[in-house]
Amino acid sequence: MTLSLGDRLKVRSMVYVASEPIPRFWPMRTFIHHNPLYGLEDRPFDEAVEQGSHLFHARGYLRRSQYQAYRAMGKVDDGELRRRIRGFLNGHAQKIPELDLEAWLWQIVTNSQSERVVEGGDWMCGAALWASLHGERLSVSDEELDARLAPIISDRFSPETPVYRDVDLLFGTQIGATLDDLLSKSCLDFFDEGQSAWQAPGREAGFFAAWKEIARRNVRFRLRGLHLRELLAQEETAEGMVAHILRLLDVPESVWQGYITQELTRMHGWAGFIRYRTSAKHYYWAQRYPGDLVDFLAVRMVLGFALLEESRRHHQTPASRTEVLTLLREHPRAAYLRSELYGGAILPGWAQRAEDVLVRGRPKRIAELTAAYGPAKLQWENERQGKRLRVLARGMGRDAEAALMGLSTAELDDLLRVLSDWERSEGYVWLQAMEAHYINELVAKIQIPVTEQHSTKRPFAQALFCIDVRSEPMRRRLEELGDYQTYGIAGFFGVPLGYLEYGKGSETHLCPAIQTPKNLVLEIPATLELEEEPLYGALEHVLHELKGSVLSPFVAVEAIGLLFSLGLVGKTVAPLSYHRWHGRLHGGKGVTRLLLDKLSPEQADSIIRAVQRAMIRRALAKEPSVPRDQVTDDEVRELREIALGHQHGRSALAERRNMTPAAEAQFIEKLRRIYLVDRAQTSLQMERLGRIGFSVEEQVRYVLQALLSIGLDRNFSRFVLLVAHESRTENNPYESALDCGACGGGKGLPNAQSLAHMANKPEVRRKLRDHGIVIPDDTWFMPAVHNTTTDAIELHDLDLLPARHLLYLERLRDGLSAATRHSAAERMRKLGAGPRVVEDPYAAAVMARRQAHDWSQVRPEWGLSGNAYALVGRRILTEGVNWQGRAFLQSYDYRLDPKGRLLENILTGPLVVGEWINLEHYFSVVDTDNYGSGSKVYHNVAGRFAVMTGNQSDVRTGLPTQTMLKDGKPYHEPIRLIAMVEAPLAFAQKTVSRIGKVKALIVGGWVRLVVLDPEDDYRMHVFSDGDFYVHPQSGRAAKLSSEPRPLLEGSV
Amino acid sequence: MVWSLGLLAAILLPLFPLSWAFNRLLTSLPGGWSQALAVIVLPQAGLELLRFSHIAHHVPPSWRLYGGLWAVFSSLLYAFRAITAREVGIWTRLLVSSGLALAWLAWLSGAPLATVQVFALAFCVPAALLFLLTAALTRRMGGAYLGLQGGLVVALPRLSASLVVTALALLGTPLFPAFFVLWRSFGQLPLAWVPLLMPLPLLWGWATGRFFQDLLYGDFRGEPMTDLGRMTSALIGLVLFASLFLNLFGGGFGA
Amino acid sequence: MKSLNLSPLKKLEIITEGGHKEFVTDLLDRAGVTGYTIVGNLSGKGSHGVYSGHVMFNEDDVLIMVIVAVPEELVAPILAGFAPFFEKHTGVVFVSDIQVSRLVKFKD
Repeated sequence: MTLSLGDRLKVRSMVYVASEPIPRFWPMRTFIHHNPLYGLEDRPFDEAVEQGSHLFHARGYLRRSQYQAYRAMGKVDDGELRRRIRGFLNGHAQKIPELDLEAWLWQIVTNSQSERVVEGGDWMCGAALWASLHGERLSVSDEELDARLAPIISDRFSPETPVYRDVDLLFGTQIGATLDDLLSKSCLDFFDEGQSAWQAPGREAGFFAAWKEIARRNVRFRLRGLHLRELLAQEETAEGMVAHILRLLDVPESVWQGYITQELTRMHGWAGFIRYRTSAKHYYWAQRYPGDLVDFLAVRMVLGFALLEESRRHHQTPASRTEVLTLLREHPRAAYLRSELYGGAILPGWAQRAEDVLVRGRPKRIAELTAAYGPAKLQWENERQGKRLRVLARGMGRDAEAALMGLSTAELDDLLRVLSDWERSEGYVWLQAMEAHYINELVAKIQIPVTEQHSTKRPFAQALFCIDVRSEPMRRRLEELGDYQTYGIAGFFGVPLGYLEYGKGSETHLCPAIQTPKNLVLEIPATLELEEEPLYGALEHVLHELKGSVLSPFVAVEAIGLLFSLGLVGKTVAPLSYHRWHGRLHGGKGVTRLLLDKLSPEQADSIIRAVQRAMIRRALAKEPSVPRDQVTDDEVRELREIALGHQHGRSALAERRNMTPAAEAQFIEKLRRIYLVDRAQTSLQMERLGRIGFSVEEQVRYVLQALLSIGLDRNFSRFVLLVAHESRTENNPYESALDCGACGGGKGLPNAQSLAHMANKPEVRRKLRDHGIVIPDDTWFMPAVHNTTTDAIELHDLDLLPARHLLYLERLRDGLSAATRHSAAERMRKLGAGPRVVEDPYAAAVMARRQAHDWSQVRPEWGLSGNAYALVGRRILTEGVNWQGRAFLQSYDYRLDPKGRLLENILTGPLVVGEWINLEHYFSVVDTDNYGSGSKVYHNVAGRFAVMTGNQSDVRTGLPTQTMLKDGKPYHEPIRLIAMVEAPLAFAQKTVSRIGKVKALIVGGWVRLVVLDPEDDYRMHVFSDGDFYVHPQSGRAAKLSSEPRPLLEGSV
Repeated sequence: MVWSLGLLAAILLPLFPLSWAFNRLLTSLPGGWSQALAVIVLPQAGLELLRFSHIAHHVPPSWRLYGGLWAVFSSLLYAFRAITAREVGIWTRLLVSSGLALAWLAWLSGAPLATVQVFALAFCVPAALLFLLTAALTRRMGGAYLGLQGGLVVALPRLSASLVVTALALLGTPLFPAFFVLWRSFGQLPLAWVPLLMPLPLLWGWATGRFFQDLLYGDFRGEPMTDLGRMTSALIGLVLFASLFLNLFGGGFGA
Repeated sequence: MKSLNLSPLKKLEIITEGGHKEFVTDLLDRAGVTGYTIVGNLSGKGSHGVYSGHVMFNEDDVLIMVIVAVPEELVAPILAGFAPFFEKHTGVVFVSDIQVSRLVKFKD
């Protein structure tokens, strides 16, 4: 019975709709920070958080106690809290005249010890609460009990819940956990990207098809009691199978969408990864082994159904929706008691009794026990609530307590409603209050320029750093040390490129994840060697291959096991020395250059010719075994022409060596097929070569845009450093998360080298003069790399440096290393270094280097944790202020940007990347287990693209607890990114309105926008609740006045 | 006469099926101190009865073999039942019945009564402590049923730690007396007994693993509770340490 | 002049946000249509607001229209297939009767 086309398409459509909220998961080799609620960004922030909590069973805000701790530390603006409480009460329908609700809410917010005051519960009501407050007992008759049970049961067993989950709740079976396990294993087998030595067979057919083949024969499934063969034979396609099983389970079509959503979001890690895979067109593994979400759902449903059937055979549990409904209808009391026990909600004192009675299964006893238990639970819930309310009231004084006792039952109902509504929205209020505090801090810290005069003194060096928060301490230290000017620019320096490293087979995209680069840059070694692998490298290769084979460990352990122990001991006991020694053995990469300039067609053609000739020689060496020195150039050329179809007939080489025509034809065919010496390939290669490099116009454009966007158009110093950043860690699956986000999780050095090369070109400089930017002849752009783990800055391409600059190189180097040491001292304190290390910059630098090389270090650096601000404006506003490494600093001068194009670029590029980073950190810290990825200690690498907890689990998304928490308390403070733009208000508003996506983000509250208006006396306009208001402490006038003006409540 | 005393002993020092009575007796006690005292006193009383009745002389040798097998069976049965127990009191009761059944094996294979008495004590003292802890847990949570609320160790660190350590003592983890008494007593047995006895540590460990799972892992979502007093937990630690000390140095209970 | 041989077919015009182009074309492929035409950069107004039709940041913010001609028996399945999608997303499907001269291009 195959399904109709319409139904199959419908299932596919439903899966698509269900999958949209699930965030995509990029392979961790290039970790992309992204917003976990990206699929919900079309909604306002608080709505999306609530929806996300529902879908992903996660919390969207910190616990109240944690916010109270922040308040005790002074990080919450009390005025904002009060304002929001009042706003809530004004908007709420319920009014209770006897109570001062504002005082109650304030008490809850600031003094309540419990996580929730109004816990809710099945048996909560005003009458019972009144009875419990006044010490009376409430009796419940049998009819009342049954009447009350009906809504409780329909609440607990909603029609969209998957059937196995209902069965788990009713019978305590572990079907859900087992299903997750089996599905994880199946996914690991299929999606493996070269980690396992034995790969699953038949993967080219697609996920569902390949899995079917294996599942039919899987002995482990059969041992478990899962009989899949007949089930799998009933439907061919994945969507057919999904619909078929939904029909077998009697799930009505109207709830299919909800059912499918619940099934898919259960394991949102795997679902997110599969979603990424289907949308990434150029992903190698997706092209070879395709698998999409419908396949995933089909596998899940087949396994779920088989487990249900197995449970039915062994434990007589229901295996379809109708059976579950029948049970609920016929034995509501038993259903209630069962769901209490197996759902964990039962009162502990009754648990053993309930278990005994349920195991025996006699309906009469069960009904009796439920009749006794119901009132007990009712009393317990109301007593608990009453106690909490009384404690709360007592904290406010005798009057409040008396007022509470004097309330009627209806008023108690109202009170519960108000309080529970408040608690639902309380998290968002705390968030806004914390942000208000940070905005106040920003206003206080911003330096309003005293004069608008430009300094005409030529600085010793200028450095362009990435906007990453980790650049901030380095920039501050560098500026402190001497005559340095620093600027902030996106880490890819505005030059998106595809980078083909020497020795690598594929290109890396070094640009923000949202863009696709059009130009390709190659790395070419300056000294070409013939193929020769250094001995040590070959040995290491062999040793690691041995690890992957099955039998060799038995034999090899005694023989060479000790060799591995050298590494083990060395890396643990003395990481720095070990790595120094190891590096010496390996040798370096050698000198390389980047091929940046566009090739002319003749050059491209000549390259292709050379490559094809080399291929032909290699082919000759392999097959007819003609060594290189026995073939002449002419013969090779002739062979090439024949392979390309330009010439026909026998080749001279074949004549000379007496090859048969058949053998020759075979050889030519091999040349065409395997060595790619044919016409179609040639044109393809010409096209690809055409992508290499940048034309002169493009180069001028990129340099111009980069310089103008940061506001550097005059007064160039001798050195202009382009500092890219990267990190270095050992044994860290998250290493790419510490690299440059603006470069798509890669290292930004090629971008820096490219921009430097472009800016140093005389031709480019000449054209720039036409645009009004005059770069003096002795200015040299130099690429450098800032290693954010060790804080070291390494200068590159020094051999290209003109001679006269060498005189100043030492001073530059000294300055950079001093800045390194001071910056390291500052950072090591946050990583828990003792006072001795912090005070001695040299010791701090050594500790930082050790962090980078220690493979047992779970927290080599804090990374982007703690990010709070994104400040877009001139450096003069932020110079000299200690931002504690919490601000993204983007240099921008609005005066050079009359049309707002540069601001547009900044808003669509760096700001969105900043928002993604900020929200990734936000959600990973508020719920480290569901949005975050849990502790690194339990992580295992899965398939080379992700981590999972334990030996088998859902793929973990988000950031680990070691990056988020310090000693169990949040280190990263969860607030939304506060983006400050220095520009006239109207200008900023117009620019934002032009970009739909950014406008939606700001209006929806995903980013907090603050505009510093230099033409309005530097007043700060804060965007909040849909409109701008002027911050009272901002502006030149406010800053210059001596008395501090209090932040009045209600003044906005 | 002798045999009726023997039967009474089989009730007090539980041997299936008469162990049913022992277990019922324990459950009917009001919990806490009474259970703790009962679990220490009753088996010792049973052993005294065995000594008093001189039943050892009357038991034919073939009965020793069958009796030993029966004791092992009894022990395995209780260990198996303990795996599904979620309530701390019930779990303790079943595990101690399992351990005490082995005392019969020790006695039947000819160990001197003093040794068997120490054997029984090695299991009964941790069991008594566990009964006390059960009562403490019940006072705080309303019941000692584990598994409803994960991560109890977060809310009640000292109580959880005491539970874990005492359970390990009951289980026969090395360093605690139960291990050494098992070692000594069954060192004398012929090798054929070993495969019969090996499943026991496996089953005990399995039951304890499930027990710990609910105690130690998971998120705690309930009310804050007052933990066990520092003095009390120190006392418990002292008792266990003392038993260990006595065991290592008292040494001379065996042949 | 020879009379034209026209055969009746149904034309479906599917208008939706540009971000869903892959999904729409994939579904049509699976339904077995022989080909389709995509018109981009549309503007318009719907229950969700006004679309400006100006390519901004990327193609996600514009409207597209996918035109496909199918035999009658495919209309119901395709509409059924799109039903769940249009419950949650803005867009419409127009069905009209058309005639084509080279039927072989549209049927297998």
